[in-house]
Amino acid sequence: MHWKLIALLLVVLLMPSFIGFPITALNSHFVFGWTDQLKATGPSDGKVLYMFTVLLFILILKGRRILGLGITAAALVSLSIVFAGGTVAFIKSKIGLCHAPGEYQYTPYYLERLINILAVVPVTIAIFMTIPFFKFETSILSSSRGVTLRRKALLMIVRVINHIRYSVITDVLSILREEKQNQDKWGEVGSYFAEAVQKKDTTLSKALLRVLRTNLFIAASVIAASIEFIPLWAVEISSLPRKIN
Amino acid sequence: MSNNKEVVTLAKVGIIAAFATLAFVGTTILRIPIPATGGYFNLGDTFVMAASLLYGSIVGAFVGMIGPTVSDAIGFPQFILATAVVKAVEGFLVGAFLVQKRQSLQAIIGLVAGVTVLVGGYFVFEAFIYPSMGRTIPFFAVTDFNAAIAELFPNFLQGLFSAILAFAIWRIFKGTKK
Repeated sequence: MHWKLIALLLVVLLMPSFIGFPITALNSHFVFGWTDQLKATGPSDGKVLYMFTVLLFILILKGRRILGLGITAAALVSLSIVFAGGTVAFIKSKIGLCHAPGEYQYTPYYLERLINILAVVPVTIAIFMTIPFFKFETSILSSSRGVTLRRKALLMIVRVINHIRYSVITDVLSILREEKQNQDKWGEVGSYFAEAVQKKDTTLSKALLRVLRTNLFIAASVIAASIEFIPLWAVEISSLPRKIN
Repeated sequence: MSNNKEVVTLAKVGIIAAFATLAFVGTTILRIPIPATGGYFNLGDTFVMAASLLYGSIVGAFVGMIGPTVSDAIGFPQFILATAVVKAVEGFLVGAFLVQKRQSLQAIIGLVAGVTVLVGGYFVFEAFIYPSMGRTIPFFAVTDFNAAIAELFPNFLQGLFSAILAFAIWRIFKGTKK
């Protein structure tokens, strides 16, 4: 099947998550195991069925590898959404900081978000993996009639995204993994917080400073790596022959 | 267009693409939802603010309009409209006060304006615009005035953390930028 047709089918598959229909049409709750609270405020069967339909179509159209990649990414994205969000909401409800009634009913809300993420992230990744970005670059460069400014800009965008996608993110992750900075830093941050909570000699502000420093280190490294070649590419791409009408 | 102008234009396009991609990744990777409004806490604003401080208002506005908006499309589509408007204005304002280069005070004023727009902009959308639109388009009926109040503090925290990081990034890069 041609990649354009696959991409179109996947985009059509993604549409219900934006427009709501036909997900909201099926608003019943007969999924086994749903508690009364979940039935009252949790995800409807339409959302659960939509998620399984999306995953089935990805399996048929893109195969097991892409489906596995999508589910893995969805699981990673949902970590902060479901667990961190749920924990924050739980703590807020325990200490009476909830200002809106929705925050008390955290379980159904986060279950709904998880189901939503499990549908939307895999299909988005499948669309992204379907589009042959490298072919764009080759087709633009192989044009014998010159290149318009708009196509030069497109070439720059494709090059930057490919660079970040294949080089920057993987490099930063491998550096963090190799030097075990990720674990060590976060372990350090955790111990600072633990000490701060126990009111030892370390203050909470020091712990927050450590969090900021770790984030700053990652953000600055990623920015530097991402923009490193842009001046060179700008000169290189602008020297391509202009299109003559 | 002369070759030098073309190089500058292409470099700006590249910078916008790079920071928009980073803002997208930053917004998508760490998301802590706020049940009251259906929105979420993230640190993607760091890249919007940093882009604006380093490369000017126009670059910041484009980065704000593209990166976080694409991220909203994955899982939180009802906020696309609010994010596109609020983050574009935020990105524009942060760099707008930086008239003379190497002026920390101007950068701080810009960041304060950016955080204000972030907090105030989402409040206006969630408290007034979305409920009003939700009466005719149910897709937007996700928030109300009380929910918008509940999101003020998380949004302020998000803006504050992002502004501190963006200011530090600007301090690191401002000496090396040409």
